Amino acid sequence: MAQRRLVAVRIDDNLCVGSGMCVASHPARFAFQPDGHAKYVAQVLDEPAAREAEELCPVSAISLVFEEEDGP
Amino acid sequence: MAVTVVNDDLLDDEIVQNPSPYYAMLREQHPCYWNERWRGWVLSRYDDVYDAMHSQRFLADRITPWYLTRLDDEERERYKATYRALHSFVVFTDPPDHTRLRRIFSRAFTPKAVQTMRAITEEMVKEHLDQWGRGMTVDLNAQFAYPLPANVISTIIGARREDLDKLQHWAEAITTLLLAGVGDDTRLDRAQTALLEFKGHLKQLYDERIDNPRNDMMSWLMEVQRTDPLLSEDDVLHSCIILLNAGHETTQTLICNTLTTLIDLPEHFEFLRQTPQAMRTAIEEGLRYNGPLKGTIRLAGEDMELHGQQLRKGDRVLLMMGAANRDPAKFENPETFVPTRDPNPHLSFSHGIHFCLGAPLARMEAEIAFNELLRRFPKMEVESQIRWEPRILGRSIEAPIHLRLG
Repeated sequence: MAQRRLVAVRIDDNLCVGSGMCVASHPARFAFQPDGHAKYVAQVLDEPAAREAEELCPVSAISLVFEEEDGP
Repeated sequence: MAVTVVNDDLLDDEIVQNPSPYYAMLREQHPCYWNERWRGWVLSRYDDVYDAMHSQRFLADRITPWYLTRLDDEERERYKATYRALHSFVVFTDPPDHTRLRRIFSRAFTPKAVQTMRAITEEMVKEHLDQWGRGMTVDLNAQFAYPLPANVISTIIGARREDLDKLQHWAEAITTLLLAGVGDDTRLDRAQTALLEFKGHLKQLYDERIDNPRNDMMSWLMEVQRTDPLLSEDDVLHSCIILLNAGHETTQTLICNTLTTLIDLPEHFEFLRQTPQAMRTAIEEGLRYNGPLKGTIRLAGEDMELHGQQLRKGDRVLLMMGAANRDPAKFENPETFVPTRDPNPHLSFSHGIHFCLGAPLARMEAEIAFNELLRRFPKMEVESQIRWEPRILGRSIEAPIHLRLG
């Protein structure tokens, strides 16, 4: 069965308004950039954190990118 | 060199009716301007307004300094209740209080949460428009733009629809205070009376829910209280006041401003009537072009220099979103309404941590409302004269707005 693996957490700068919901919820994963936009900054890809941030974002700027991989 | 004398009267009818030339003059010649009459700085360039909204050096709590320094002992005692209520409004708090409150309330207004209100909003729009017919002249504000968002936010929070008249009366008194309209010495007393009555009313709803929770935001907040001892009963009641207030006043204005703009531009009106999927983008342009708020206030959190001017800690700063939204340095053809403009990084919902909590709701309400209006009435005409209200922060059209349906 194919499994999905999180490969990236994207933030669309055209949508991001810097509300900081992601930063406030997961300060170890998201951070503000000098231009006011948020960015996923952690080395590890934390799917539960990214999912929560995706849902909390008031402008739906966060998207999770998955890669299909074949299971055993 | 010509010396421009800047008009400091932000309520001057010429500026209120057509702010664009004034905005342009400020942006070009006085990007950081001390307005002596308003007693504060005015920022008008997009980059400056944007930076201030994203900077921790500008504070949103302008209530505490006002309370502590502008009122005397007797007044402080008299308006204690007003201060306490305003101070717990998320729009007037800074981190860390802001972060805590915002995290709680934002859960109720995420795009996903708002989608659960879609069907009920569609139903409410139909309910209102079913009473309208071609050939009729209606009052856009009283018969649609006011009651629709008010009903939606009341339903979300758990207020009763039959109490809408009372809510309107209280909301108006509070809004008058918040949006700094025409000088009126009685406005503090009126606002305080309204706040106390409003709170008393919500307290009844609160008490009803202690043993009988319902499927509404008030009940949900009471549930949050069980696990979050920091969220007080006052926080819940005060927040419901600001959400009820903010939830209809500004959306009402968004509907009136954008619809009248579209009616004035028949080509775009027809395009959107035939292309309902383009409405979302057009609403963003409505927000940019004639957003419900021209400005928002911050306080300088420290001494700083901007465009050669010295701002002192505690100085008031007016962030002119209206001017920023028409800054040619950011927007191509800023004075033209372009319904397909995308991206459209307007600042009408503010930006940064104070970005409008209700933006997803307002966007959905406006989209449903406009698409249904245009579908039913292919021709509309504004029969009354469009006159803008003399307000420093708000940009709204004087009621009534008579709409001829065709």
